[in-house]
Amino acid sequence: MRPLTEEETEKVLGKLTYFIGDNVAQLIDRSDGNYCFRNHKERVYYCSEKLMRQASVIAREPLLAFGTCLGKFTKTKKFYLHITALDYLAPYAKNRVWLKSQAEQQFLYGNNILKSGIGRMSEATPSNAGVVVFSMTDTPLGFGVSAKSTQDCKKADPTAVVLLHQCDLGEYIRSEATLT
Amino acid sequence: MDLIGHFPSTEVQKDVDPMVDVGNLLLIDRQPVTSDSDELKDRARNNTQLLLNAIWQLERQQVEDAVVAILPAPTYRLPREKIIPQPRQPTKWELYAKAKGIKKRTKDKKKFDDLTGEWKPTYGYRRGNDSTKDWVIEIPQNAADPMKDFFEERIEAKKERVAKNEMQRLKNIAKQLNSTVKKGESTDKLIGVGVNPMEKTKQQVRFAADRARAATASAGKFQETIKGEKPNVKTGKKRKFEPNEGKITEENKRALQIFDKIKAKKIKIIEEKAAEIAGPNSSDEGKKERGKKGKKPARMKSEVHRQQWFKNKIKSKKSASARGGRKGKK
Repeated sequence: MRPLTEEETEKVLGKLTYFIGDNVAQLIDRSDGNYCFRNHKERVYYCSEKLMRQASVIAREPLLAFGTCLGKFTKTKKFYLHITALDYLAPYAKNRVWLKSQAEQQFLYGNNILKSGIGRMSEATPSNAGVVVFSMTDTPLGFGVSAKSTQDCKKADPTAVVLLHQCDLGEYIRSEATLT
Repeated sequence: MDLIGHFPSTEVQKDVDPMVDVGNLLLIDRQPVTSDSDELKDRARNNTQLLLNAIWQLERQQVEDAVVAILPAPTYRLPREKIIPQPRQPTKWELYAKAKGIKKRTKDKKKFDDLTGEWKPTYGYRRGNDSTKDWVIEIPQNAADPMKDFFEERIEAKKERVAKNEMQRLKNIAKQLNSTVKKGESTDKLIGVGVNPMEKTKQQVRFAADRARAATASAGKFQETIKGEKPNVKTGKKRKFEPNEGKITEENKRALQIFDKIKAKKIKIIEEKAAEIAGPNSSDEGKKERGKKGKKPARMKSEVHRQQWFKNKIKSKKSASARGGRKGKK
């Protein structure tokens, strides 16, 4: 376990900014205590200072996880968000999409979303922006990237892909072994 | 004199005679030791005096300006500094010979050579009765292949014997060191023979390029990077991380600074994008405005020439077509 280096911090915060914009500052500087980012075995964990200090007692090898795993660094040092980060993305998300109930399952099985599956979409979503996906009952399901802006989406035909899948709740089952 | 009164006497009385070995410049005091430090100092002084007395009684010599005593051979055996080395382990042959009761027979180093009538070494260079130096070899009756090179065969056989002996020697050394001799060809890399560039992996090429770049007098400091070239991976610098249990507030401050940097970058991109989206119209307008109000650039001489050239060309074309027309009519 170690703090992130400057480059790593830049990558992690950059990725978070992609989804929640300026709200990242609220994750860094929290009113309810000190929270920190830690790199442990190339995975980034977000946890309270107290928990971090308790976890640091355990040696590197046996320590599996602590706090919330936001994502991992690949071998080429790119940062990927994991579905476990959804708890922190969902409440702060800038761009949101609500799915119709029939498209929910499609998304949870790891597919992209067509225009026909979208119930609602937040205004002024540009294309290629990070989007958090909700069900119609406001349950966060995952996140992805918008293939079309809200404006273009209105004109597009119902079979056009609007949202590219990145992560969904189904991953808790599909990649149970690798998630921490 | 006054001085004599200050110094203790050179004559020392001892209860127990000390052992003096002048050869080693050694004196061993056998009297039991007391814990009184003053007395110990006294004893040390007296013993030194005794030793020097003994040295002064030796035969003396004058070497240049110095008076030198000739020391006798040492009588006291000093203890050994290092442990006694282990006896060498017997070789495989020595073990076998012992088991079979084979005694070593020594041969004379020189042997009389009948051919030359000289004494020659039994073994080695210029040895007598050298079978590989025979000028003629009789082909045996039962030879399988009478046409083969029998001289070559003898040389090969000798080489093989030498190689076998070397192998056995190495095996014996390995046995003594508790390791084993690897069989087959050596897998060690040849020194000084690099990898063929065509067989290098991408990474190996990369490292070679990096090394080459740093191989200047200034360790590559002023080496310009080629366009699209990645920076050196192996800079020899070690990774350094912040302590895990430092001040979290400071850490978060740093994170916020980085976040501000990211935000600044993001805004830039968005502006650019906005400009791109609104691009064609606004930029056209800009051009028109510049055409109307903006300062006109001074006309280049070449431009003037070009315009004149075009004018002349058009003129000549017109005149040519006019002439052609007339011709056609005729």
